[in-house]
Amino acid sequence: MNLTDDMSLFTLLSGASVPVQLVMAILLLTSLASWWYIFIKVFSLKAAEREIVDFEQDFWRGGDLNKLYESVNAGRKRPQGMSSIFEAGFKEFTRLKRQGGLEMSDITESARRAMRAAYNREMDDLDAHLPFLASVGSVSPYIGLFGTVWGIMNAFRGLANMAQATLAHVAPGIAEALIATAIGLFAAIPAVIAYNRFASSVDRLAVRYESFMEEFTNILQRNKG
Amino acid sequence: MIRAHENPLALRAGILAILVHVVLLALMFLSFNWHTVQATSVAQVELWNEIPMPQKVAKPLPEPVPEEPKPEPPKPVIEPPKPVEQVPEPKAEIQIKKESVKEVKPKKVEEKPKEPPKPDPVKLKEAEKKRQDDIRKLQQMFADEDQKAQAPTKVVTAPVNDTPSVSAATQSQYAGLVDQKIRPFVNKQLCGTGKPVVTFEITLMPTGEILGSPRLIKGSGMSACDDSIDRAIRQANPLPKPPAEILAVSRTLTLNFRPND
Repeated sequence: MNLTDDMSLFTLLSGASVPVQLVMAILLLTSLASWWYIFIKVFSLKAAEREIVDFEQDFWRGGDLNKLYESVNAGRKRPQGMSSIFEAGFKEFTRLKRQGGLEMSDITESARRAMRAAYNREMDDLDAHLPFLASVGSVSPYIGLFGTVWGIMNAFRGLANMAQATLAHVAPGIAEALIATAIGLFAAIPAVIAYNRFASSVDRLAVRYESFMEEFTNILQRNKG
Repeated sequence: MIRAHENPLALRAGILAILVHVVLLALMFLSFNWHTVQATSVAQVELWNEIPMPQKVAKPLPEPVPEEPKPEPPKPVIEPPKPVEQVPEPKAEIQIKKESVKEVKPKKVEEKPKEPPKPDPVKLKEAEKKRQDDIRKLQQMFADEDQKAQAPTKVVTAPVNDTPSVSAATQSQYAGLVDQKIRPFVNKQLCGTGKPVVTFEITLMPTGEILGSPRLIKGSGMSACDDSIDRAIRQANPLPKPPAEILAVSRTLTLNFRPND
């Protein structure tokens, strides 16, 4: 790089060596992907929370469970979140009850199992992409560091050919190299923050699902008629 | 990639993600656009390129001037009656004196023959009249030689009648110039702390450019050191223009480097 050049961000990027540029491209892509997932996750978790609030409001209003089941199944879409757990449990309960000839405890137990399966499906959806964010958060600083080390190695190798080694000869190379670390951190920090936040809100949702399952099992058991 | 139930969110999230990056990049561009105003060290290079030959000549000469002219004049004076061109060695000595006298105080020398009563200011005051006579004789001798000797620096005639030997002064002068030109490019750290001597042979064009690549004659034993000097020679490529005197003899130069001196 020419010393008289201004060290704008663009010259820093274009002046870097090919491996460093490759590293930066990878990091930029991971950063884009992780932000995409972050936004998807923000929206879907918010939607799940809203769904829980709405459904609990409907459920505890004390209306007829059959009617509630109808309204849950009314939409074209498959029910999601807490309503899908309710739907799975109530479907199993009514079917076994209609079949007859079974102990009440067996019926509630199998309804509970159906709800447990639906709950696992829901948790799987909620947990989606979190591993990706976790690995971006932990790995991308290392990728950036690799680019930096490579760039600094090149800078120093160039310095060996220089008769009068001044800081001005190494500085641009090191600045170029450090950009890689900067991009790595830029990708990693939001990913780590988002991962922690999403993990805790997924836990909170899971607790709410589980407590709903317990309460609903109790209601089914009480509702022998 | 994404779950089925996330499809409706994907587009919105993607747009937002790109937006975040664009905003951050824009911020970085605005804040990162620092300008480097550096005191560049280019000045050195220009110095070497622009200084014309005669000025450089002045540097190596001052050393011989104060010492050699005074003690030696008598000796050559005794011998001059015999042929001026004897063995190459004594001739070389004469040439040193001649050049030093001629180039360092050219005006004074020329004034002397015209105004004998008024001797030269500082140095020649001490000398007796005999000496002045001797000097005058010498100068006359030089005047004769001047035509021969001045020619070699500009025209290539003189060396023809002489032997291929180049005067030691011009040779050392030129060696000094070449050394000064190359030295800044040498990375001394590669040559350790000892006193390595590296010998290179280069072929010069009359313009001072190096023909082909420098050839290592005798290495220092450290290949890194040899390489660094090789690189330095290449980087110094347009070397100072060699005097015609040297060119007339040979275009190959043998350079001895002592990087740690």
